[in-house]
Amino acid sequence: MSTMTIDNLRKSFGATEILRGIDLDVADGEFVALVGPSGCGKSTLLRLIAGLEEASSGSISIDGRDVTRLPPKGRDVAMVFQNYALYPHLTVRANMGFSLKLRGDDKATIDSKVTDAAAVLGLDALLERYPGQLSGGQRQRVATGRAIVRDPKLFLFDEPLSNLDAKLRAQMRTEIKALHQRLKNTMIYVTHDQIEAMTLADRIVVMQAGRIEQQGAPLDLYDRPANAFVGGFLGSPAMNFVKGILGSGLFLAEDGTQLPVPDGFDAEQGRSVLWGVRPEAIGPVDQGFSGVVEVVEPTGPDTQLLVRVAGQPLVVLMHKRMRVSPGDQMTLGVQGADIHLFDAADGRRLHL
Amino acid sequence: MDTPFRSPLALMLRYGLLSILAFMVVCPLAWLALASLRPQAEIFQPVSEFGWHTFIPSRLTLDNYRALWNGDFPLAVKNSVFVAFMTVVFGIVVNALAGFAFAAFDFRGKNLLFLLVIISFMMPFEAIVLPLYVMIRAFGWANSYQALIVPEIANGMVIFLFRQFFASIPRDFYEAARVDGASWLYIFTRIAMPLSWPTIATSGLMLFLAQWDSFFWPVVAASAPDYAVVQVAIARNINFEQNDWGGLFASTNIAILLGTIPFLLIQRFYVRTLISGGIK
Ligand SMILES: Nc1ncnc2c1ncn2[C@@H]1O[C@H](COP(=O)(O)OP(=O)(O)O)[C@@H](O)[C@H]1O
Ligand SMILES: [Mg+2]
Repeated sequence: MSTMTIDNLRKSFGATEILRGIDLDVADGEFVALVGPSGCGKSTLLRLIAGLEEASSGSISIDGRDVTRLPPKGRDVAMVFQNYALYPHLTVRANMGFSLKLRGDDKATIDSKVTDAAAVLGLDALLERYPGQLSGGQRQRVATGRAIVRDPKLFLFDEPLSNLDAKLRAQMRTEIKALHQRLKNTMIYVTHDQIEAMTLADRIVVMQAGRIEQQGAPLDLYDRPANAFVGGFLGSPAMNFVKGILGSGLFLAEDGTQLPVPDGFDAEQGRSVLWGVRPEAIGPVDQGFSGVVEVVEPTGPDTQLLVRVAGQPLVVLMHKRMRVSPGDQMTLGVQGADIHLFDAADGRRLHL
Repeated sequence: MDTPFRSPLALMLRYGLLSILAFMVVCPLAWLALASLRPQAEIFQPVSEFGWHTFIPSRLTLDNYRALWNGDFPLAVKNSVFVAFMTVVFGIVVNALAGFAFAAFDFRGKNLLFLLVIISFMMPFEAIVLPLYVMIRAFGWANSYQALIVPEIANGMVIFLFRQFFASIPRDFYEAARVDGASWLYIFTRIAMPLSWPTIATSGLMLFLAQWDSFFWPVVAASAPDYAVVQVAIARNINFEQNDWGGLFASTNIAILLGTIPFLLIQRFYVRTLISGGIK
């Protein structure tokens, strides 16, 4: 049972400030996903929480206790590394029992805890093997097992699935979700894969350049991104953006094309804005704006189109098969509720 | 067939040439080995009348070795073995710790210090013999085992080897252990050292050979008969009115043979690399 509070946390390496004031509250049992582009400081934040790096300023408390200046040992957190970091000269059993042995647990306790964790993760048959004799997915499980035997206050995962192929990744994602539902420990999970974040997390924290851009429930973030960056980062294929200005009750793209605005949206005319729409929100209609099909990509259940609208390519995703070919003219429409308007200068969302 | 065709003539030339080279390398050693088994009087006789007797002795004898056994050579062997063994044990511990510190920690002056380490093994030993001797004298260590062992323990080349190896171990290993609650000493002894067998073997060998072959420093620092090491003892037998060639050859032979034992013992460690498998 544990909570974590981070208050105005900053970290600089030399003159470069990598984390620029992070505030974060994590509730007991919560699964928080940290996402953001590569280099935005996710791993650094995780390493600060683990105590592997020292904060430049600000504070971290776990369960109400300030741990900012404590070494890793004093924090009772477990971390699963991207590379797994299994000790090659130790068996799976010894790897999983490593922290318990350090802690001074007696052999019988270690054995029973390791056996329990191995059963949960389906590693029973592999306990006497060495890491070199395991497949990628099995190594990942051992790394997870090494963390869960400790029953720590906090689990930290740093892109734990990024070394697996797509199929295994999807499978392990489900396993981690099941594990969390079973253990109910507090977990902080770093990933740059927004699908992982969406599917696993109770709450997503989107970071960019050392700051938290937005946090909230996955679908809230998806439906109501606070700025153009979050809108573009979450979702695959990514949100379409068109540059232009506001007219009266409509949006004017740079080439003069008229596009709709959210229902009841009212703002100063002539303001420069970004018009954003998710690919799946656009569809063929009788009355709307027109575009020319450039690329057709059938994926089986879906059809993904690249359509030139207002002088720029928009991605359109339809959950059906389409009989269209490049060069075809299409009339497209979008529901007012699915349109996002952002300030062109600072990217801020302009409406509720 | 994708192996390139080689004419028999080219092959014959190749192996012929290699055989000649091999013969040239082995010949003096073989001659040395055989010479030590000949009676004293016969050693140089076959050289002046070159023939098959040059290589095949008319009579084999262990007299030279027996004489050696009864002299002070066994003491020199004992000294050398002791000095080399202690240097290897302490040298591995000290140099591995130093290498680990360079690889794992960031501290002020680290780069400068590492530069000094590298310079220390670039510098010819002769350049520091005098100051070193003055120091050893000041410690009152002249003619003692300490004088032979202590200056050889810290070895820049070995520190360098260990640093390179420890730096090649992914940091994640150290960090995973730290999060799991391990102290740095625990990480060094339980994770870093067990992974570095090949480096330990190589370093041990280097430290051993440095001591086994060392001559100049022992002559300077511990020339008393009680502390004479093998090379010093061998050199004692070389003088201008030489008449104990057999003893010289026999002692050289023993020095060579004993020197190769560590090689044979640790050969298998070169084959195994432990580092693979834990990462990714
Ligand atoms: N020890 C360090 N020294 C200097 N710069 C670092 C160090 N660790 C990370 N950085 C820098 O901090 C930035 C954020 O890194 P990181 O937290 O690993 O990003 P992410 O995990 O989000 O991809 C990067 O630009 C990286 O170069
Ligand atoms: Mg990272």
